[in-house]
This record gives sequence, C-alpha cells and structure tokens, in this order.
Amino acid sequence: MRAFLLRRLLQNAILLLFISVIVYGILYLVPGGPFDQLNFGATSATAAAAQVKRLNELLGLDRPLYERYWTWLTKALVGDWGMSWTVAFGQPVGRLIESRLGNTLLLMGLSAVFSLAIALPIGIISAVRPYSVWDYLITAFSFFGLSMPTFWFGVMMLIIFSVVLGWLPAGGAITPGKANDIVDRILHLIMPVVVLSLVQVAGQSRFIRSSMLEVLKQDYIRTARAKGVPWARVVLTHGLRNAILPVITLLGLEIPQLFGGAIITETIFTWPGMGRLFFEGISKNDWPLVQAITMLSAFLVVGGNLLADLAYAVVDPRIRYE
Amino acid sequence: MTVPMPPAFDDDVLATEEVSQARLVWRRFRRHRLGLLGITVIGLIALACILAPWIAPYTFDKPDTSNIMGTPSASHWLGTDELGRDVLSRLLYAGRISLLVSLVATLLSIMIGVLVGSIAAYFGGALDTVLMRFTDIMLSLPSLPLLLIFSKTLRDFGPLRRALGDNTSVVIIITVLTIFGWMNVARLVYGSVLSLKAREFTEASRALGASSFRIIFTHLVPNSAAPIIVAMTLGIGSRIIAEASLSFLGLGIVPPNPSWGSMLSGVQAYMFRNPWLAFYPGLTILIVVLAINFAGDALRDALDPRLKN
Amino acid sequence: METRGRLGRRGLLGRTGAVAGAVSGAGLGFVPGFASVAGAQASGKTIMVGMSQEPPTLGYSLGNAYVISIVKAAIGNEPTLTRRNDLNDWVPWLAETVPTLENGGARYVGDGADKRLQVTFTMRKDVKWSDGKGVTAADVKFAWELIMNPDYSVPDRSTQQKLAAVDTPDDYTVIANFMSENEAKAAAANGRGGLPAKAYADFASQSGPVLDPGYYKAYLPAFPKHVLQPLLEKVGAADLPKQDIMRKPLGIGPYKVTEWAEGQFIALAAVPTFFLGAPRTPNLIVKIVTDTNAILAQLATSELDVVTEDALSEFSAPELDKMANQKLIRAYYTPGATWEHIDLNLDNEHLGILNVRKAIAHAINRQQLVDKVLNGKTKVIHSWAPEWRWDFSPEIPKYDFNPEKAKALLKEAGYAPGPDGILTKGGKKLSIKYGTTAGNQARLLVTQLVQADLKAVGIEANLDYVPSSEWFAAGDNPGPLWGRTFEMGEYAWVGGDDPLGAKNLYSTGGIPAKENAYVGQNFPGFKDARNDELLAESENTLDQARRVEVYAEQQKIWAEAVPVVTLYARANVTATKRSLQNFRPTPTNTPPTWNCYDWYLAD
Repeated sequence: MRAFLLRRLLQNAILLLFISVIVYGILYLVPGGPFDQLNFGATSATAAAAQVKRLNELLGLDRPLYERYWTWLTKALVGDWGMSWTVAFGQPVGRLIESRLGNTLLLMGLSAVFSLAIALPIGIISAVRPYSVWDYLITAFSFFGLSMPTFWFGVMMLIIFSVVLGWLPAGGAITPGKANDIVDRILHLIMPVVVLSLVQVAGQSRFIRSSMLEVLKQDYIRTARAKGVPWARVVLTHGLRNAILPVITLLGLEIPQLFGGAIITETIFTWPGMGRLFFEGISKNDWPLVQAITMLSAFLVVGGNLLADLAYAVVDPRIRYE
Repeated sequence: MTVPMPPAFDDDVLATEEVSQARLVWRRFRRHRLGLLGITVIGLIALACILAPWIAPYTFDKPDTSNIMGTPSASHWLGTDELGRDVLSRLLYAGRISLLVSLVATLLSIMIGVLVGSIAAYFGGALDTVLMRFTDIMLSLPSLPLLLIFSKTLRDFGPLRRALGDNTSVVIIITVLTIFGWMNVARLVYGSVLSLKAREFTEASRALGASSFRIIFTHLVPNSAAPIIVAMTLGIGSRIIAEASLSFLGLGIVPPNPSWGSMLSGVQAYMFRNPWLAFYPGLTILIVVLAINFAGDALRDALDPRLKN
Repeated sequence: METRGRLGRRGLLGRTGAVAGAVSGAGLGFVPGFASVAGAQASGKTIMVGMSQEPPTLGYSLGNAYVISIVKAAIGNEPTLTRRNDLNDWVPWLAETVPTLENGGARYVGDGADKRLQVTFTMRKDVKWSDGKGVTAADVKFAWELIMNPDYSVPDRSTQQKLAAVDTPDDYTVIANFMSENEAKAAAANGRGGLPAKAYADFASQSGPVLDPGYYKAYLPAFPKHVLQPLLEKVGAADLPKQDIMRKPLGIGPYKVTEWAEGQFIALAAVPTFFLGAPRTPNLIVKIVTDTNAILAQLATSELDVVTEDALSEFSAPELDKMANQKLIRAYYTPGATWEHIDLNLDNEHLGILNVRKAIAHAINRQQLVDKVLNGKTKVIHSWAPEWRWDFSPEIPKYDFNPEKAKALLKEAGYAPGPDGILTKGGKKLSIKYGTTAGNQARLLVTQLVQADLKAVGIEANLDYVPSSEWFAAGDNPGPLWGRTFEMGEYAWVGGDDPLGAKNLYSTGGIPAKENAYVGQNFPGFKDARNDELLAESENTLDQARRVEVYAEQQKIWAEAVPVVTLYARANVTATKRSLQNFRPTPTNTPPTWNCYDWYLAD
C-alpha cells in the first residue's frame, strides 16, 4: 500500500510538471505583454516605448523562455505564483485565487451532493424496475440532460426566472450588505447549482442504473432474497453497497468535468469563483493567473483520482494495491 | 467502462455470414424506435444542411437592414436576425460547419485513438507503457481549461491565422477537439486488441508470415469495430456541444463562417428583445445531439447487446 | 474656486437627459416585460453602482482602465491641482485658482536657451486626507517624484517628464518648472533622473523652452506622502504596486474603501470631513456585474441604482428606453470621446489612389450604421476632433452617402467592372482586406454592413477578424496595425480633452516602421508637408487662438486626403433609478462619479 502510494505520488508529480511545461510554453506563443496598452495611452510615443521596455525588464519578460520558466517554477513550488498582470494588477495571484476558491468549492460541492442526491434514487428505481414507465421516463430525462448545451440552458433559465418572473437574482453570490442572510445566499445558489448539476445527474443516473443492474444479477442477491430478506433491504444494503463502488470512481473522474462546467456556469451567473476568474484571465491575457489556476485544477484532478483509488480500497477490502 | 470487450464479429466468417450479420444488426436496430427516429432526424437535418446552397431560401450573409429582427412570415419562416438575415437559412449553413467540425474532429480522434490503442496493445512492453501512460495523462488533464488555453493561443498566433485565412477558426476547433478527444477510443481499442491478440486467428496469421501492420489493421482493428462505431456516434454529439460551448465563450467559430454555437453567442446582446434568436440555434443543437444519442444507444444495442452498460 | 453651489447652477446644455422613445424591433411580439421591483433596497442609505469590470487596481497613478477612474473619482486618492467638470471646463481642485499666462499664474523666466515656463499653483488649506492629515505641497512634490521613478509602473508620464523640477517654497505653494531648451537637449542626449535618453527623444531638436498646452491641467496630483514614503523606502518603487494600500488607498474624496469583496463588490463609506461637506448618501457600493443581460435585469429590479458607461452601450438602448417608458429608470446618452473609424493603408496599390479612398467614403452608408447597429443613439462624424471640443472645425469636407458618385469616382480612376461584378484596373481586382478586432459585436455587424455597401459599388472587401492582442501588438513583432500590413482597418480612438498627441497619429514622423522601432501611430501612412508643419506648431504653442486656426487647417487637409474614413462617435450610455438625484454624466473621460458627493435617492 505504501509503495503504491509513493509510486502514485511520484507519477502525479511528474504529470503536474509535464502540464506546467505545456501550459507555460503554449502561453508564451501568445503575442503581447501586460504593458502593451501603454503604447496607446501616452501622448509621447517615444516615452511610452521606453517605459514599456523598462517595465518588461522589471518583470523579467525580456529573458529567454527557459529562464522565465525556471524562475516561475522555483517560485511556484514555494507558493509564490507571481503577480497578476491585468485582472488585479500587482496583486499576488495566490491571494486572488484564495478569494475565489471558497465560492467555487461551495458551488462544486453543492452540485456534487445535489446531483448525487437525485441521481442515486432515480438510478436505483430504474435498475429495480427496468423497462418500466419510470425507467423510460428517467432514461428520456437523462438523454435530454446529456444532449443539452449547458450554457444555453443557463441563459434560458436566467431569462425566465430572473428577467420575466423576477423570482431569482440574476447573478452574483450575495447581495452586498447582506453577507449573513442565509435566504439570500440560497436564492443566489439555486440557478448555478441546478445548471451545473444537470449534466451530472444525467450521466450519474445512467451509470448507477447499469452498475445496480449488474449487481442485482449476482448470486448473493438471489441468496439473500431466498433467505427471505425483504426486497427493499436487499436493494439498499447488499445491492447499493456494491453498486456504489464504481460510482466513487466516477465522482473522482468527474472533477475535471465539474470544473469545466464551473467555468461556463460561473461566467453566465457572474459567480465570483475560480472558473470566472480563469476565464477573465484568458480573455485579458493574464498569464500568471491562468497558469496558476490551470495548475491548481490539474492538482485537484490528479488528487481526486488518487482519492478515488484510495476510497475504493477502503470500501472494498478485496482490492489491494501493490 | 473500459473493460476488455469481446469481439462482435469473428474474422474468419464467410462473406454470406457477414451479410446476415449486418442484417441481424439492422433488425435489432429497427426494434429500437427512438433510435430509428434519431437516425431519421439526423439524416434529414444533415441532408438539409448539405443541400443548403440549393434549398436555403436566402444566403447566410446578406444583410437586409429594412427587416431587422423580423417576425416569422411566409418569406422568413423563422424570422430574421440582428442584421435582417434569414434565420432558417443561417441555421442550415451553420449546420454545415457544426456538423463538419464535429465529424472531422471525431474521425481524427478515432484515427489517433485506434493507432495508439492498437499499437500499444499489440506490441506491449515499453511501447505499451509509454503510450498508455500518455493516454492516462491526457485523460486526467483538466480538459476545458486547456482547451480554452489552446484555442486562445492558436487564435492569437499570427502566422497560423495568416496561413489559414477565413477558415482559421474551423481548423483550430477541429485541432483542439482532436487533441483532447482521442483517449477514450485508445483505451477501448487497447482493451479489445489485447484480448484478440491472444486468439488463434492472430497466431495463425503470424505463423503464415503476415506483417504486424497487416495483422493489426486487417484483423485486430476491424474486430474491434463495434465499440469504435458506438464511440464515434456519441462522439459527434458531444463535439457539437463542445464546439458550441467554445463559441459561446468567444473562442469558437468566427465569421464569415456561421456555426450553431456562434449563432448563439452572437445574440447574447439581444436576449431581452428577442430571445427567439437564441432559442432556435439552442434548440437545433439539442434536437441534433438528442437524435445522435438515441441513434448511438440503439446502435450499441444492435451491434452487441452485451455492450450495454 | 469651485463650490457645490456654483456647479449646481450650471445647466446641462441639453446634451444629456432621459430619453424616452418608442421601442422598435419587437421581434416575435414576445418581449418579456421587466419584472417589477422585487427586493428594493432600504432607500436613502446606500447607492448601488453597477460596473461591468472589476478595477484591476486603485493604486496611485496605476493603470489606465476607465473603470479605475470611476472608483478613484469617489475616493480622490490622486487629487490633482485642477480638474475638469462635466462641461469640459478646467476648474480648481486642490488649487485655489487655475494659473494661466493671462492671469499671471504662469510666466516665462530666464533668457535664451535657459528660458523656461514656470507655473505657480496656490493650494487650498482645508483639504484633508481621510485619516485627518492635511494635504500639502510636499504631497504634490512626492507624487511627481514617484511618477518620474523609472521603476514605478505609471501608464504615462509624457507631461510630467517635461518638468525639470517641482518646487515647494512653502506648504501650500507648488511651482512647476518646465524644462528649458538646454535642459531638454541634455535630457535627449543623456537621459534624466534615471530615465533613458530614449524617453526624451522628442526633445532632441528642441528650439525654445519646452511647452505644454496643458500646463494648467491635471498633470500634478497629490499622493499621501506620510503613508507612501515609508512604504517606498521599505519595498522600493517596483514592488510598491503590490502593496495593500493600492487596493484600499487613502484619498481626499467623499468616500473611502471599507471592504473589497473580490469579484463581487467594493463597499465605500462617506467621509464626513470631505472638504466640500459631508456627502449626502452614507454608503456607495460598487457592484461588479460582468454580464450585460444581468446588468439590465438588476437595473429593472432596482438591485442597481446607477449603471456606469463601461457596462452599457447603444446596443441596450431599446431595453433601456423601454424601462424608461415604464418609469423604472432614466437613461442617458452622452456624446463620448471614443470614435470609430477605418484606417486606409495608403501604401496599398488601390488605396493609394485618392479617388478610391473618396469612393469608399461615399459608398458607406454611415447613417445606416448609426441607426441600425447603434439604435440611432449617436452621430456620424467627419473629423477626428469631437464636435464638443474647441478644436473641431465645421468647415471640413464631408462625404455623404452617394453610391453613384462613388461609382463615378472609380470609373474616373480607370476601374471597370470585371466578369463577377468586381471592379478591376490593369487586370488587378479591386479586392481589399478589411480587418478589425475579433469578439466585438458592434464591429461584427458594422463590418458586414460596410462589406455589403462596398460590394454595391464594385469593391470586394474580405473580412478579417483578428484577436485584439494581435491587432494592437506593438514592439519588435508588431501586429497588422503597427506593422502596417493591414489594408482597411477598423478600430476606435479615445480622444482626450485636448488634441495634444495628434502629431503621433497624423504626421509623417509618426509612421511606424522598423527604422524608428515602430514608434508612432500614423498607421495609414499619411504624408503631407503642410500637415506636418501645422501639427508641429500646434504642440509647441500656448496661443489658444492660433491653435484653433492650426487645427482647423490641418483637419481640412486631412479630410480632403481621406487617409481615414471616419464612422461615428460612440455615446456614453449610463442609467439610473428615477429617484437618483444630481447624476450628471460628462461627454469627456471624466467619470460620472465626479460629483458623487451630491448624489442621493429621493423618496
């Protein structure tokens, strides 16, 4: 187990290094630096050109690529992600992310819980009564969910519930000045969580259905039934316990998808989270910020996978890692 | 799921049996009513899009400022957009780009996936480790952030844009969707080829002196066709959505080419005045992807009932 | 001396005002009604200001984004000695009067090559930083020194670097000493105060004292020396922008930052000791709402009381007018300083021909662009000088929409229709690349309409949407503009309150090329000897009457040569709740918060 863990950790470290090289290298290709717009603002063009040159030197942007990467990497390893160029000029990127991280984790966490809370019962119903009316309805629903362009769904919800009906706030996380108002918080959360959960519910319920179907065919289920254990108990204890294993893996693997969804959802609902921050960074060429968030999300993904593996081992004693 | 799949066809069957196999698949597919509906819908929409230059009532780019955001009428069935262009005609032309992008990106992904998966499984050893570890790495990347970074970089990279002209955005989208889209196929083929490799017919071919290349591409890959076909069908649907998402975020298809996604992103400014402008392309995407998913599901059942997850 | 009473008496000259018009283009007849007030704020205590972007910084002379100036105007963290009001007049701010050559506040001292311009500002004694410390001349001198520090990332120090020294004979007197001819030449040769010689290249052939038509303007701010000086000594100028003070700056303004919830809002609280009197509303909250649809929705539901012009455009006019008709809001459309145009590259074989350029100007239906794309809320323009500014000349030639005339001009130039309807001359098709920035909805629509207009007279325009980072890329690896590889290029300039800097844009010396390290913004490559003379003169005289004449003549020459097809001015679009009082948006770059101390919500 320890050897397995060590090997995985090493592999993951190499993976993260690989990602950092790719991301750093590719962003280097984008023309333009943080001070380009100064060339337009000044009344003296020559003075502006001299100024831009000097500021680039101060940030080390005149250095060759490998040197810049090395400086960045060594600093990043000790938690210094550099300063933001355009989104929050001069601010440490780490602090910027910190201010948004909580909001994103709240959104992602709630969506994961919410989607599982829906997907689990409907997946089980489908599996227990396959080819029933319910099963067909649920299947149809999940197909709709899988085929729905999320952003379009989000925008349509915004129009209906905020603009036409005026029931829900049109965006943001809280009403300023109402930081402790729990109702206000919940109202702001409804649409982003629903939109982010939609695709998850669709995929998860399909997955739980098939996983459960597989389990219910097993001998021990039949044995349990033969012994006179009530059907509901068989499903919920024996069946679910075994069917949940692949679901755990799925949750680990879904983190990248969830984060991807967060970028779109946060952008639509102006949710002050990392996804929107990332997109802002991309659109404003704030490379230190983009690099840091990419690395952080890669870290989340890699960590999620590792946790899923470990959880698997904990839940299923048959599994041993070498 | 990526467990090794049993082959759907045996290689050493006679030609007549192949026909009956196809017939069997078709018979099973036909039973799946939603699948049948799906394939009909896709067929009709794809046909209409391909024939757009001949059947579309207007061209997609001719503005008519006397009829901006016109209501549906006999001459404009779905009304007109913010420049007075016919929405129906634009949907048809946009479909060409959206379908082309997703189809090409899927085909390229399948090609790369098949190549990587089969080579890794067939040769094994260090090549296997390198290729499949790379596949795992790619699978565990946060894809949307990287997709956005790649699209942004490629778009901003002057020489590329100058070389490709009007079609830059189309090529870029296809490229990024391919880069991040081949891994699942690779794993599927890997599992399938791994189990087939040990079978007698492979041994027999090798004994008869067939080259590795020949064995892989005439025996092993065709025998893994079923899961590949299913993955391809479903892949087209997810790529239509991916293209639309990128366009929505402003990193997708740009004019003069219209796509369903770019039609959606362009009308954000008119959400209050005319939500229908956003409704039509969104609904089109929903219908097409839904149809593809139904067809893909039916195809999976038909090709091999055991494949149903 | 500026007082609230005096400003309050001023009229608005009819430039601004709520506009209520019928809503057009009702789509399918399904126009969602705006939901009526849902959770109205407790009135009177707080004004919610909606902005589309979060200010990247609020630091002292850091950043030049417009959204920064909106918040800074409320905080007053870089108060200048004089400032502009909503009528584009220069009025005293920290100073007691505006010093001019006429009133003796500015004068020439010294002789010959040592002659210099000297401007004396006398400061008010009642202005305090929000921590209670008084503002003195030392704060002004400190600010100038910090701005001139080569390691401090100010966006522009073009005016400040014309000064040789700032003297403070007493606590409330600031003397700005512009460079003499000798000093200027020395700076151009050897650099000055840590800045390289290159930064002073403009002065290499200076004759006479260095002058600046803006000598009485906003180039000298005050920074709180008592707070910044210790920090500067501790971390150095390069790291100063990273300090917390740049997010919660100390100012003299009516409000101060109490909380900055990143990505969400900036909360401001009134400063009772503000020198014009305590602000009328205790709290101002600047809310960041990045999406236009969300802005409109929140305006409709009274979640926002004010929306600034960065968040709105003429695009939203139908929605705003509808809300105004429903008596939910007031919408303001003020002529702005941003103007859209198409640069024509004169080195292009077709565009080098005057008749072709004139034909293009006649072929484009500019009024249609204004009416159909910008909902009729702005105006077609014919000059680079905005109509509200003193240098605008009404005498310049105008090119009306006249396709027949365009065709005649092209025929005269030797063009004849080819087989596909596109004109040709000497076997060369009149086909031009028409580039602009990608991702801009207005440009997307305008370019497609212009393309259709040009096609109607036989000119083929091939649209090319370039990401703006590439379009505007300067430096060693320039984009299409600086590298002058564009043919027709559409983008916008933002005008200042003075035409100063026009030399960079329109004179021969401003043509960017490899030889001059891509300095200057005369992208069309316009060359005209008389034009160059006029522009040189305009930037080295303080005689206002003469400047008016010079710019009038220059505009005429420029418009006759058509190096640029002017399109339209953008309007500054702002909106407020109906009950908000004393909101007075300006046509200049002065942010609408300039008088936020007077804002209040009537019951």
